Amino acid sequence: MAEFKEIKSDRLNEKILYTRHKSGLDIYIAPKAGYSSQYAIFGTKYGSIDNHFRFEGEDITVPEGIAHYLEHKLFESEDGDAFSRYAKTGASANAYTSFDKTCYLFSSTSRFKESLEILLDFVQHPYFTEQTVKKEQGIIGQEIKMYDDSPDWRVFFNLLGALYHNHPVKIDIAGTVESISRITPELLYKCYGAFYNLSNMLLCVSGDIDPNDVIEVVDRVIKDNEPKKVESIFDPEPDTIVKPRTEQQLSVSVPLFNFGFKDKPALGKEAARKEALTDIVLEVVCGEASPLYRRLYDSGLINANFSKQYFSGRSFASVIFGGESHYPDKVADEIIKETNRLKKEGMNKDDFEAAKRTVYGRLAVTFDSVENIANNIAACRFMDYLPFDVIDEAANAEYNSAQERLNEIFSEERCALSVISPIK
Amino acid sequence: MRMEDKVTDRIKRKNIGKGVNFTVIRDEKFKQNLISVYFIMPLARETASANAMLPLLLKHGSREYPDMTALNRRLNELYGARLDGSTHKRGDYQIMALFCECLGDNYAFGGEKVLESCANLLKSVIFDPAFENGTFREKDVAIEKRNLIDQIDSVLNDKRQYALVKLKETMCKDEAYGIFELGRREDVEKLTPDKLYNAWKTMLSSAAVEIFLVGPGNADYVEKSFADAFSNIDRTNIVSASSDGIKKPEKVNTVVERLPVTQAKLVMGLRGSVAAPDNTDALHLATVILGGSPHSKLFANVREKMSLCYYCLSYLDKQKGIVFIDSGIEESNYEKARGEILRQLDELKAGNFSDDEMKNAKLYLQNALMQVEDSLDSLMGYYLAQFISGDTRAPKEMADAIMKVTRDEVIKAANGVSLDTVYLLAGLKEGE
Repeated sequence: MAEFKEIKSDRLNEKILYTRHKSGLDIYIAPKAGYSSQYAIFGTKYGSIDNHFRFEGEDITVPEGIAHYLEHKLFESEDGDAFSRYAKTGASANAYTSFDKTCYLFSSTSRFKESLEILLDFVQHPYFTEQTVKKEQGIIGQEIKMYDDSPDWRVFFNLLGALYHNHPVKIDIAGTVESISRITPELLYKCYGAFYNLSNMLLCVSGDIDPNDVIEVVDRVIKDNEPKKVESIFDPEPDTIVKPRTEQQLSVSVPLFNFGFKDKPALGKEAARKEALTDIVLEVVCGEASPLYRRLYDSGLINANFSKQYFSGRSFASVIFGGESHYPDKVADEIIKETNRLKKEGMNKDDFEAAKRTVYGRLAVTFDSVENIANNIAACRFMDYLPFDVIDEAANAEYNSAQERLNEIFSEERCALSVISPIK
Repeated sequence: MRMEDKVTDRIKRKNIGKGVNFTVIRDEKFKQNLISVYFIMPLARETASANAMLPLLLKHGSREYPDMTALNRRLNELYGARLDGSTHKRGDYQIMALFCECLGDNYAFGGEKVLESCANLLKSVIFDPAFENGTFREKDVAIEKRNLIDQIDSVLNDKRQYALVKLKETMCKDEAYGIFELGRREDVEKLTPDKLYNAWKTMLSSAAVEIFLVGPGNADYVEKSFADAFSNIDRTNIVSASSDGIKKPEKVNTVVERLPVTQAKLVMGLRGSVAAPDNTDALHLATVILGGSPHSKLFANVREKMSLCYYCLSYLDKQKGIVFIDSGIEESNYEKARGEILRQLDELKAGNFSDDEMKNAKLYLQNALMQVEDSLDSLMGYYLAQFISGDTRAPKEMADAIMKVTRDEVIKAANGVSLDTVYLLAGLKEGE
């Protein structure tokens, strides 16, 4: 049986078991005693940003939205689709494609091994024909149109378009109706061959499970594999932004905004450190206990929908404030004013301590959900760290490091405002 | 509303005041506790807006923490505990919730009694709000009126949600269920601190109250706090069972609305029977066979076979016995999509579904029900819905009952369903 490396968090009384299978597949298991459900993800380090890559000596550029298209098509095989196989185990199955990864998943409460077998099997068996590829265009076309009408989605992508010159993070994950019309079975096979090599993938499982059950299924179902290297190519991205403001009109009653600061991406422990410190800084700057939040809320510039997030992934990062406001430009001004003040005067030490507890507490409770755990492991591992790293960084954060982080993020030269306003 | 006590190994529910129930779901596997206080009131046009304002106003603070900043600062010290409020509709009831989610005491590195502190905070914002001259503060009321109006207006921003709200309004215009749970803009505008003070008093004295504690924490302190708080309230005219019952549609009503959108939303409301838990289980299962999973009839045909949509699903509102069908399509495919959806329903009614379809739907529902046990929110949501409809079965019991539903019962339940209203939200025509 496989040897597991045990990664523990004493603070949280949690552990993650890790092993590298002989096929090159990384396996992470988070045992959760007492849980009724099991949650499994089979994922690849391949998302919407990977549309230009080098593989087996060839430099390849593919249509926008192809990673997502491939995700849809992988569910089909010569003899029916994966959903009908899952139907027999009762598992609830799904998949998602994000900027930097594609994850296939299921959640079960019984017959875990059978469902795991289906998951590992269908993802390893691509089947694309002219006809099945064509059929998907109507379905994904409707998915794209659904997002075209979504102000939350549009305000976000318009912001990314204002922040990024070249980086493909600015491209819609599903592509466009035009770009997906250029997708062929050959292209899908090419992307599959490059990115669905087991050495580029991982398996994460969380729940009340016996790790040996996982290994037994993996041994049986995972094919022999020859590790291959694929390298995504990104054109150099300047630190500067494209434009400071962008606006689009849609059928909305209350205007929406996203206000973002472009940040430098990181990987590994450095990414975990940046994430923890940024979350603390954001809590100090505009958490619900902050003077800025109060000022904006009391003066009616924001409502309870106001949000803040560190948006980061493999090769991109930015800080984004969002919400509904009748005066989005004023909100942006107030944020700039307050961050300038905090850069000059420094954060209040008590505010920092309270923010640190908040971030620690909110991260700790994410371990209450097998779904969160498995998804977090996948997201973190594709950036070369583990969820425990972020929690430890938050619990051990020091004032000076957080202040440095604050000074580093908030630059008036690197911010942009995106607004969705009602059609006049 | 049936309110009998239920005590299982895992769940203890007891009466701690007139019309006040306290339910504890002790579960050591969680790292956090969740305390929720639900005030259940009849949904009525005259009171909807005032009631919906209360959770927003109450979370502004308490006598001890008289403003949002002070209160949130305290919550941050308690490891980012979250205290919030919301308003929902369940059947013909309007439910105002105030809740607090907090880290379990074992994980507090300062050794604080987080749960007790949070119970005190939650109790104080509900019973001892931040008043000025004996009523809600002018300023808070002005802010939250504006926020509630934004919330009501912004339903338009999410077209899928908007289409469903409009469908319910149209279909149930003579029933409480047709009233939007946040009320209307014009009613919010008329609210004053005094009117809201009266609404608060009425809610405390006459709402049916369900309090939940879910998590690893010890319930004694929380229970005693809320029992004491309610013992100081003169509880009269307490809300009891009232429902507009189930109506039968006389004719199919079709409504088309045009807005500047790219994708059309086709939603439908159908009425069925949920007179007893047995009927509900069969109808629930029928809804899953029709469009509740990625191997359902609607997914397999409307999406996979005909490529008409990205999503097309059906689900049941158990309190009201309404089956909703929800899809996003190209407007030019409207007739085709509507025709196919109704054809699939007819197939179900005619018994044209395989034993596999039936079995798969059962397994799918069973899986969904068993998962309820793994999240604080879903446990609480599940039991609240159960208590309101007078069905005290645990998820496992419900799953067992569903596994026993027969093909004939599904066919019978499906045949009890009839189309009431079709609502199409479509793009503007040229020149509009």
